[in-house]
Amino acid sequence: MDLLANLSLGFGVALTPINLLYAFIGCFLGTLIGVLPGIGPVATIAMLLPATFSLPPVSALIMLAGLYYGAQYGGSTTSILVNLPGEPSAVVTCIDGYQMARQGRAGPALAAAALGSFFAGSVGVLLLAAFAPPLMLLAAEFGPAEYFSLMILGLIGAVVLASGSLLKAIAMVLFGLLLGLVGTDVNSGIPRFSFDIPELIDGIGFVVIAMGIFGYGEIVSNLGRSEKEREVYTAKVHGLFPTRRDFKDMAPAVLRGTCLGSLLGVLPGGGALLGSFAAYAFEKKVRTKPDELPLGKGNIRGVAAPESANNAGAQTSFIPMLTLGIPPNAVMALMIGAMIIHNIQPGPQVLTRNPALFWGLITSMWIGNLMLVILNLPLIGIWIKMLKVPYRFLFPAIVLFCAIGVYSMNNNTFDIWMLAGFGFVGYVFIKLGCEPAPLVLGFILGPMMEENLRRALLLSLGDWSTFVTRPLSAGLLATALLFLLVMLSPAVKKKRREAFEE
Amino acid sequence: MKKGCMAATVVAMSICLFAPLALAQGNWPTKPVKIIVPFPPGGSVDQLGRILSAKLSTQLGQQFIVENRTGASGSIGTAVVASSPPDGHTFGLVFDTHAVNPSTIPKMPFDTLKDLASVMLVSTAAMAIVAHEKQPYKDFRDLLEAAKKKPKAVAYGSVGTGSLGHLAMTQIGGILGIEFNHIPYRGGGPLMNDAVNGQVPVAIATVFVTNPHVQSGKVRALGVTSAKPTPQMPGVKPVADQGVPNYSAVAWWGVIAPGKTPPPIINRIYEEINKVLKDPEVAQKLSLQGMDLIGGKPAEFDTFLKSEISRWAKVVRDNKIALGD
Repeated sequence: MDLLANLSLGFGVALTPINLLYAFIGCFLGTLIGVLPGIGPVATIAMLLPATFSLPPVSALIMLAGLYYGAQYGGSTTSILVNLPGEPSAVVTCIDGYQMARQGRAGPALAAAALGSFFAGSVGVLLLAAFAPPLMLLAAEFGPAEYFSLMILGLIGAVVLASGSLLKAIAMVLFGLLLGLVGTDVNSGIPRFSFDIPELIDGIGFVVIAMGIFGYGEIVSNLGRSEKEREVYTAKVHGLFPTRRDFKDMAPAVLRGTCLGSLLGVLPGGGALLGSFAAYAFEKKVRTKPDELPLGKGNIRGVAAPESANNAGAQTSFIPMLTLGIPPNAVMALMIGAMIIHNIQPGPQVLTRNPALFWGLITSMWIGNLMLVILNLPLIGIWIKMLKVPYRFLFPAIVLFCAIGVYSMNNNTFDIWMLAGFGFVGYVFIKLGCEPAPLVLGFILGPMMEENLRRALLLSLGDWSTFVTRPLSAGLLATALLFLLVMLSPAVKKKRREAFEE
Repeated sequence: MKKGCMAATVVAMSICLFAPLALAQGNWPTKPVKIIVPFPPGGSVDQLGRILSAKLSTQLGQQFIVENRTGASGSIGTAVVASSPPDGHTFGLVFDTHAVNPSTIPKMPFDTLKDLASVMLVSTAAMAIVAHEKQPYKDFRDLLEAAKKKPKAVAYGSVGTGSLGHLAMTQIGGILGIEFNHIPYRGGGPLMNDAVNGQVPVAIATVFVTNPHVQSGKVRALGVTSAKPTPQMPGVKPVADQGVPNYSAVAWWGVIAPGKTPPPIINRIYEEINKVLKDPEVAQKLSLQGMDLIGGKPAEFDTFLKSEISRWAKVVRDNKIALGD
C-alpha cells in the first residue's frame, strides 16, 4: 500500500515535537493575523516569510502551511462576525454567516465553519494521497476552450446565487465583469480603463473591492441606523455551539460541499473559488425543510457547504503542485518561493527527491486543520464577546484595520482611496437592494473568461468551432444550456417569484 | 595673528560648508538604507533583494531594508526610487522589464536614463524555447523550418505581451521573415501548466522556469537565447548556433539609484555588493534562482541598459506591440 506508506512517512516527519510546535505557532499566528480584517493568507505569509528563513526547510514549510490555514480560518471568522471576506472564496460565507451573527447565532456559524473545514480537509488529504495522478489526468484535459466553457457554466450558476431580483443579479454580474476589465489586457498589452494612472495598470485588487463593498458599505449603512436598532443584534447572543438540529442540517451540506470542492479544486486558477460558489448555489437548489430559514437569511447550510468546499479545494489544489510543480495560486507560489530559499528546487522532482518533505507537508496540513479546531472552538466565546463591544468603538477599529490591511498589500496609499470609493459603492448597493456576491464572481471570472476565450481562439486561428469539437468543452456548454433552460422554464420562474415574496 | 585668525575662519567656514557632503560620503550610511523591490515577495527580484540586504547590513553596520512597491511591471516601485532623495539611502532592484517599460507603459512619471543612476548589473539568465514531448521538433532549426511554411504555422506561449520572451521571438521572426502565432499568458505558472499538458505546443521562458519540466521529460528544450550554452541547461545549443547568427537576449537583474546620487557612493555600494557576490553561499543561492552572476560595473551596466532600451523600443515600434492600432 503506497498510500499507507506515504502517509506514515509523512506523519513520522510531522509528528516530531519540534514540527508540531512550528505547526502550532503557524496556526496561532495565522489565526491572530487572519482575524485582522483585510489581511488574508497571502499578505500574512508574505509578511512572515522572512521569519522562516532561519528554520530547517521542513519546519519552515510546516509553519507556513499552518499560517495559511490559520489565516484562512481567521478570514472566515471576520466574514461571519463583521461581513468582511478576506479572500474571494469567503465571499459566499458572508451571505448566511453574517445573517446568523445578526440573529445572535455567530457561535454555531463559527463552529460549523471550523468543523466543516476540518472534515473536508481530512477528506482532501486522503484524496490527495490516494488519487493525485488520476485527478491530474483530468485536469490535464483542461485547455483554454474547456476553461472558457466551465466559466460560462459558472456564471450562469451565479445567477442562481441571487435571492432577490434576477435583473439585479445579472446587472451585478455585468458590473463585476466591467470592473474586471480595468488593467492591462493580456493579449494586446494595452491598459484598459486605467486613465493613465499607474496604479490601475494592474487592475483593481480583489481585497480593495471586497473590503469596500462588503465591509465599509455595511458599516456606513449600520451607522445610518439608530443606535437602538443596531444593538438588537448584539444583545441576544444565544448558544455558542450548534444544536443537535444544526448538526443534522449541516452534515449533508458538508458532504456535498466536500465533493464539489475536491473536484473543482484540482483545476488551477479559480478552482477553489468556483468550488465554494458552486457549493452554495447547489445548497440553494436543495429543498429547504418547512421550518428551515431560507438560504441567504441565516441558514447554517449556507456556511457549512462553502466553507467545506473551500477547504477541500485548498487540499486538492496541491495536486498540480505535486504532479507538475506548478503553483495553483498566490499562496502556493509563496511556498515555492520558500522552498527555493531553503535550497530545494521546486518542480515535479520534489516528490521523488524529498519524499519526507513532501509527505510531511501534506500530513502537517491535516494536523494544522486539527489544531485549528482545537484552537478555535474555545476561542469562539472570545470572538463573540468582540461583538458586544459597543459599535462606536468597533467600527473605527474595523475601518482602521481594513485600511492597514489594504495598504500592506502594495504599500501604496492609492489603494486606501479606492477602498473608500468602493465603500460608498457598497452603501449605494445596500440602499438599492443589490447583492454584491454575483459582482465578485463576475469580477473574478470575467477576466479569466476573456483570457481563455481569446487564447482558445488564438490557438485555433480564429475558428469558433473549437468550443464544440473538443468533447469536454462541448459537454460543459451543453450543461450550461440545460441550466439556462431550466431557469427560464415557467415552473422555476414561479418558484423564484414565490421565494422572493417571502 | 589676524591673518592666522582669518585663515582659521576660512578653514572653519569651508569645513562647515563642505562637511555635510564629506560626512555623507565618509560615514555613509548614516541611517537605515531602503532597497525598493518593485515586485511582490517570493519572486526572484524579492529574493535577490533579501539576500543582498542581509549581507549588506552586516558588512556596512546599518540595516538594509527591503520594501516591496509593486505594480505596472515594476514601474511603480522604480518611480519611487527616481523620486527619492539622492543621498545614498535608497536603492532599487530592477528586472529586465526596466528596459522595456519606457516603450510599452504610457506616461511613466520618470525618465529611465535621466532620473536614475546605474549601479550594477548583478546577473543575467538565459531563456529556453521548449516544445511539448509529443511535438515533432527536435531542435530550434526544426521549429524554424516548420514556421517558414506559412504564417502563424507555429504557436508559442510567453509569460505576457511585451515580455522579454515575446519580444525576442518577435525579433527572431523579424530577422528571418517568419510570423509566429503568439499566445500570451499571465506569468510563468499558467504558461508552464499549458506547456506540460500540451495545450500550447511551444513555450519560451527563463531556464529557471522551464528546467524542472525539461528534466521531467514533459517538454523538450530546443534552444537557449544566451550567446553561449548555459551551465544551467547543459547540452542545449544557443539559437545563435541554430539559424539565428549572433543572436542573444537574456533576462537580467540590476541595482539602480536615484539619478543624482554622488558617484563615490555609487562606487562604494558597487564594491560592497561585489563583495557579497563573492560569497560562495550567496553565489549558490542565486544560481538556484537560475541566475548567472555578472557583477557589471556602473558604466558597463549603463551601456548595457541603453542598448537594451533602444533595441526593444525598435521591436515594440516595428511590431506595434502594446501600442494599439
